[in-house]
Amino acid sequence: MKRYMVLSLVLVLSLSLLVPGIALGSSDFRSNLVLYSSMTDNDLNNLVKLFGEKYPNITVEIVNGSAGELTSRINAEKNRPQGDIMWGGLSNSDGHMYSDLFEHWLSDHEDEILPAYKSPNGFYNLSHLSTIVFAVNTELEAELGMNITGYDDLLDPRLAGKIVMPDPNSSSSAWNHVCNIFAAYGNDSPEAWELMEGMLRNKMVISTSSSVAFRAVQAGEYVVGLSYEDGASTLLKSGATNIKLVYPEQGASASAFSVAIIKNAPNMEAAKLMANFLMSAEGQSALGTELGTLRFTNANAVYDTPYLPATSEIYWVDRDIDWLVENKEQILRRWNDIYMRTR
Amino acid sequence: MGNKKRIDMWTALSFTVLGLFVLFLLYPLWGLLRQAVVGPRGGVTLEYFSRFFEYRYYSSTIINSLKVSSAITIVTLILGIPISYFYSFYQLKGAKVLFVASLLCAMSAPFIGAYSWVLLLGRSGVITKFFANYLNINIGSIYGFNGILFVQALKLFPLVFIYMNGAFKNIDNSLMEASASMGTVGLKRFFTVILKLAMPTILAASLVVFMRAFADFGTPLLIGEGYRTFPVEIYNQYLGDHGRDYNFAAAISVIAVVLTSAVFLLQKWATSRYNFSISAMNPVEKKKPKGIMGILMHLYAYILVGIAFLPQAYIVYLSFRNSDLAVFLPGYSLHNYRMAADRLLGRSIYNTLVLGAGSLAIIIVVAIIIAYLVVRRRSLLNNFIDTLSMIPYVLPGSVIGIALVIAFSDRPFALTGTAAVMIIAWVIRRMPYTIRSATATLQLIPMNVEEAATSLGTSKPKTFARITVPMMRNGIVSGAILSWITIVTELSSAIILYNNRTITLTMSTYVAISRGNDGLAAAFAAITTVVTAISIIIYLAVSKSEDVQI
Repeated sequence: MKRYMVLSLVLVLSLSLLVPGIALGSSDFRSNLVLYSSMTDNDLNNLVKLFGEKYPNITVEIVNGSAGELTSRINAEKNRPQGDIMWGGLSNSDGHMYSDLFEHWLSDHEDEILPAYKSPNGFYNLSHLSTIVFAVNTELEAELGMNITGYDDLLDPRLAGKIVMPDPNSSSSAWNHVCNIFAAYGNDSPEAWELMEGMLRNKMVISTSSSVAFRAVQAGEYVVGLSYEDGASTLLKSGATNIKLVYPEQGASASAFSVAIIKNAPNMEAAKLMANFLMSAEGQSALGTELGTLRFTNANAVYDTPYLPATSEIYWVDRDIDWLVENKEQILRRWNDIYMRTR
Repeated sequence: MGNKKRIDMWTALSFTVLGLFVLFLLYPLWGLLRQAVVGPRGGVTLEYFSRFFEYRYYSSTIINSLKVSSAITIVTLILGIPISYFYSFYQLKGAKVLFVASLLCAMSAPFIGAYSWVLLLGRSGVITKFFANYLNINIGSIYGFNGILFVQALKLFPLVFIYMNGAFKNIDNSLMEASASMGTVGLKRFFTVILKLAMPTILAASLVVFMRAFADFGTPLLIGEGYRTFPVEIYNQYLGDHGRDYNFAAAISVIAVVLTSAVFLLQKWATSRYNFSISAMNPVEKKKPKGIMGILMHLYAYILVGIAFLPQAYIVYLSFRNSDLAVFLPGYSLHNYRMAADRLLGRSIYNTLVLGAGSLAIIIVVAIIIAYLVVRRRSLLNNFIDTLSMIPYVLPGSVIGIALVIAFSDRPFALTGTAAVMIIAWVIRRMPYTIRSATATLQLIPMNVEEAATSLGTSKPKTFARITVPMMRNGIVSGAILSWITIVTELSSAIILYNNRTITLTMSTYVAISRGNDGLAAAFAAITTVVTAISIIIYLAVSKSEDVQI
């Protein structure tokens, strides 16, 4: 009797090993999935919810961290991969930097992606945009009697010590701002460098964490935070009433960020399902509608962004991505020199 | 015959311990050093070191770290010695409460304190706003040098408190009476007799505080603002958003280790000038504090511990506030805890306790063996092991984390991402506390008790297990508690080594803070505080002592 039970148990177990192969792609597919992500909790909670509705039997586990933390982790775990997929923090200006960390695989929807956001390297699936923005605390702004509209205001002595920016050496959102200044004022132009020096001379606070630049502004620690759309507008969605997003009048621009499959991911199939979901018009529409704080890249995606201004209301400037990639180290070195001179 | 066998056992243990040190300590450090001097195309280069010294942007981090840690050490001594003196020589009301509360402060992860202080004393903190709105006083900002000093001093003075209690308890009453009979009492006796007798302990406490302050990663990360310290810089180079410069991170690590080694040697030299040990046959009887001095003593002790405890209490309060991501909303609920339950809460608690207990078990066993080898079986090899066992003292957590990743990422030891590598890191990092106190205790135990046991026919191993180890118990327990405290609050090496399988409570808290999710962060921080509080209570129950002994 006992033997039969053991036998049938073995049979069931071995059958269950076959099931994922049979059920691949359908909603019955059963798996774990470990998602490495630098996105906000608003983004992740909604992604897990929507993805879970489509694939109820995939259990998603989230590992939060900055892009640098996560890529370092993936690199250290190369021989024993722990994560399956990474979303966010992987920018279209990374070039081939992480070529050996990710599967060279593109989603089924690559041909539906807007022409400007096709994969730059064959393993980044550019899923969404991150536009630079000033997060402004409107109460404190009013107290100072100011109306902040662009970069010139950042040099105003009234804002001395009241502006916060993450460290461009370690934060992709701060580097995003440096890139935008060059896009608005010209690559390596004296005007761009003068502006950055002026900002630092105005006792701009350099924080070590990217989230400080919007969170601490809402909390009233600073008047202005050099931040990004998704982070700052999530505060509005959370019910903050003292925050506004300012797109500098001199021009704004965006980095495109990606989803990519970690090389030799233990749950490869589930990871591909999630990447396909994130790149599909269906997934981007659903997520875009639920979030309202993020702009996506699939040409067929339809959603509202009630917490963001319309694309047409912003004055856009173009970036020279190749120049930025090539000169990044030099730019950061000069930034660090100015930083030391102005402290 | 039996004699020969015994020697074989201890020699075998010596070599086993040596082997463990070589594999888990020297080999990773060798990898670190190699990484620091080998260029991308092979060949030895000093490029990374020269880059560090060439740019003040980098070199200033070490100066800043030295400055702030020295200041923290001095302030913790000034805060900690008086409270320990009052506690040890007078019957303070609610002494146990004071002790447990300060233990809790020491147990909390430093970055949780820093984070809570930001919410209290930041530019829009509750207290800052209160002063600005009602009293029209600008109390300044929590950020930068002063903020790190403030937060860390309040967080670390309990360590001085704990260390000094041990020293004060060992001051023999006859010495006190002798000095009194020569007319030396009060403050004069405190400075000329008591502090001098406690000097080795003061130096030991200073070293522990200095090393922890120097290596602290969380506090400067959260409130450093422009004040850049080197652990944050190592982290930036290693984990920054802009790609990894392992070589440069390794070079900074090497520089940091050279500096901490120098401080360590300086401390050893200073300690050697006070080459005596104290052990009380009749401990000092605690006096009843009287009059205005008694009131002042109570005020000092309670205000100090109260301020240090404030951030813990505030974080627990916040954890029950309603919140939506980064924004706290009116009203109270368990919302934050429900969110935490969705974010690996169970696993975080499990890992903290199980990995922590596993590490502690290894630490205790190895520490007893090493203490015995070093004290009772002096030999060249065992002296070498003694020296090796002190190396982790001078290794900041981030350095250990990086060294382990470099050493154990590749086959055959692909341990990165496993629980094993976390345990290795914790054991290496936190063993010295237990080894030191076990060794120190064993040195104070005269050989003749063990000799008496063996002469009465007890076998050597049995003597070791039944006589030596129980006599070392106090030293082992107090060291082990320090090890446990620091394991539970470990951040700087765990941040490099953890992943979703091995995530701990402090890591979950850190992640929530760094993602800007204040409600979730408060819930995790509160649970960490509760877990540590429970472990203290368990310890107190197990040790069954009326007077809290540590």
